[in-house]
Amino acid sequence: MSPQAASAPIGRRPGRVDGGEARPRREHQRDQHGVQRPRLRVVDDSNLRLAARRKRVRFLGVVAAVVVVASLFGLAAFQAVLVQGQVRVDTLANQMAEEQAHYQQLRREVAELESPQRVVDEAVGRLGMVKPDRVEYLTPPEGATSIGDRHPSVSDDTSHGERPWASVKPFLGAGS
Amino acid sequence: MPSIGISTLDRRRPPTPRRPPTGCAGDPAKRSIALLVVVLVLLGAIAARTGYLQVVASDDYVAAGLRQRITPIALPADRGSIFDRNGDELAMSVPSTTVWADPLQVVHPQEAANVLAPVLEADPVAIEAALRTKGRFVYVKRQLTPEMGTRVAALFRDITMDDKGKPRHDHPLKGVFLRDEPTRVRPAGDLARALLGGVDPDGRGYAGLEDQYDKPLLGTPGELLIERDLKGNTIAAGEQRLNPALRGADLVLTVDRSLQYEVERVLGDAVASSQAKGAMAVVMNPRTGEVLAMANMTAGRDGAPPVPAGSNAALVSTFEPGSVNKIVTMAAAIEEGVHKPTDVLVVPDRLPVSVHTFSDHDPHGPMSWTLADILSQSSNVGTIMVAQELGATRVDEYLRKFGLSSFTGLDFPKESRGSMLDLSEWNGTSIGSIPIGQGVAVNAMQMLGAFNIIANKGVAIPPRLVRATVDGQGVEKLTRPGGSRKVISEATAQEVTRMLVRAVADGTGDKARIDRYTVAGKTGTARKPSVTSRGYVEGAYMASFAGFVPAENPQLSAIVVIDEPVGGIYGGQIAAPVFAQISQYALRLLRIPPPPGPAGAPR
Repeated sequence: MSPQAASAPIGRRPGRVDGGEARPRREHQRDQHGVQRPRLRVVDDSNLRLAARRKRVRFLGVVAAVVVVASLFGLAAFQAVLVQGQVRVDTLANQMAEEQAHYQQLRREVAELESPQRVVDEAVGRLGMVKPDRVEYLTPPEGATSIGDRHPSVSDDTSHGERPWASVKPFLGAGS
Repeated sequence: MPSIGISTLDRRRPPTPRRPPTGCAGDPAKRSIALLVVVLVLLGAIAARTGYLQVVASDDYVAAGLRQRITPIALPADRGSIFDRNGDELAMSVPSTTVWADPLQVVHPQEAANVLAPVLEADPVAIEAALRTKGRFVYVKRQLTPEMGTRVAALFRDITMDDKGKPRHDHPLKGVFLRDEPTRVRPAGDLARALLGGVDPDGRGYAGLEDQYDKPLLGTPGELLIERDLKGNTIAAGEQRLNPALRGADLVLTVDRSLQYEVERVLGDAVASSQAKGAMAVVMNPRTGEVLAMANMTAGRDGAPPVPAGSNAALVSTFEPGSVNKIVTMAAAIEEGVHKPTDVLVVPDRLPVSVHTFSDHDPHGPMSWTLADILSQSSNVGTIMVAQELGATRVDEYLRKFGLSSFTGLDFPKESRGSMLDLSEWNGTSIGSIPIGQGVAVNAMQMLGAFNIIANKGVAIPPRLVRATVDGQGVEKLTRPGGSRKVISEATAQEVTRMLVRAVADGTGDKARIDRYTVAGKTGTARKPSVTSRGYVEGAYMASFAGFVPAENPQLSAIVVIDEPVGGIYGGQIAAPVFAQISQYALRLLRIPPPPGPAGAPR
């Protein structure tokens, strides 16, 4: 091996054209057996790895920056959505309170409309109804089932009301 | 010489640059050290302060910060409703508007008062005085009517907001605020007023059932903690803690609203027609002890129509029962085997007992009367004769067994247990007065309880006013009826029932008769004892009638007491017809059919 070839500058490709110089002819050397071979050298690849790493780092840096920026935007957007949602929740809560109050007022109105005094006033004053002088009883024909056996009495749980308790209660105090 | 002078000058050392005053400042190194020390001291102070804030006082500052941001919103618990036996509201809580002020924030008290007064229908001077009080909180007007609440809300909107709906910074109502507050309403007006009692503006019961059941009705207030920003908006994802309010339990009474109304109406008519001071009535189911109606009416002022009384006299007030008390003497005599109902006694119209001579209402010669006759004629003398044979001890024993001088078990606020002399305190005339209902004080409920024992085959069933409580989740819990006890035998109860039927069929209680039904009952007329002196009030009587129907199968019992009627003073005259009216309505309302066949003798 010629000392010239051995001391070729690192990183410089053989045969590379620098400036306006003519491309040198590929040199060959002969080995100990006299066979002609191209001139070879060991290439130090650490520079290549470094460059690749730099490229990777740069790429990762860019990706990280994009992710950070995107996260910030996402966070801001999420916060905006959250605030919007909270405003909506507040609005609905206010609306619910108003509706609840309205419901309670309606309950009161219904109860007042159903009060015995109002019913009597309406019946007598507006509809002209009068109280009967006496109660008329209808006697069932003989052989009919005795009404005394099956008739609801005061001791019955639901008494005379049309609405048993269980059907009334679910509508009371809703939401409170 | 100049040379000398020159040489002198030459000998002087060349002037050195003027140095700054000695000290650390002059030396850059020292100056740096001094600066470093200062910086270190400052940093140390900051570190110490930071350490104090972060370690020692951190909790206080965190709490202070939270206090600034977190708004606690009180969630008042809805007071439970009171329902009648059919689920109709007798008392309920509804939200209402309350106007309050922070006087420190009020800028224009006079102007605010002038603006508020017409809407609140209040005196502007009084409002202004309230707005000028010292302190941070004052009520301007509480618990407005719905209409007034709407008007005030509109006024606030108009004054505190501009045309674009944005808040105005300066307006007359600055420092005046609105808040929601539950208010108690009775949809049926004053119906059962004394029974239900009242609730103060703070939602606490102070009388009647509202007082007695205040704790379960009240519920548990809650709180909502919200983190808010400066503008009062809720901070999204901020602190939010909800401690929900628990609604108070509802009460379901045994009372029937329609019956209560009719009883009050009929009593009111009786008070008006008899010019009485008042009247009371209790209607019950003797089998279950359920009170179906409890009414107290009082005469209106200056000739106004009678109105429901504020006091539940049927439980709170006592009166001398008079002749209605005779059933106890008769029941005891029969139960103890002293007499049978058919035993005949020769009854004069006057009977001296110790220092007092008792007499019957109408003069008559010696009459051969059975016990049933004595009761139906309401003979004082005959009853005293039976009592004398029975003896004071047994008379006293049976009066107590029948529940006189004992609390009814309803635990109603301010309930009276009545009064009876201890046996050791009886004097010579007690054996004459007490069996005929004088010298004994009872409340109407106690007296009706005695009749219920007769109606219920000799068994005493404790009365009930509250049928169930319903908690905030809607779970109904039936109240446990008290234990029953046997007072007299069934046979004795039936015998007394027959006697009571006679008292209505052809005795003093004939005005209590109801078409197609058999009524058992007894009249009573007693003088009113004076509260200021011994003896009785001249011309003041309590007229009463107590009984049950249908006598064959009692499902309804009632007592009517008229307080100081004018003109007709007898129970048979004015209380018995009221009993009939009430019972007739109740029988129809509760669908209690007349017994098959002709009404008359009970089986």
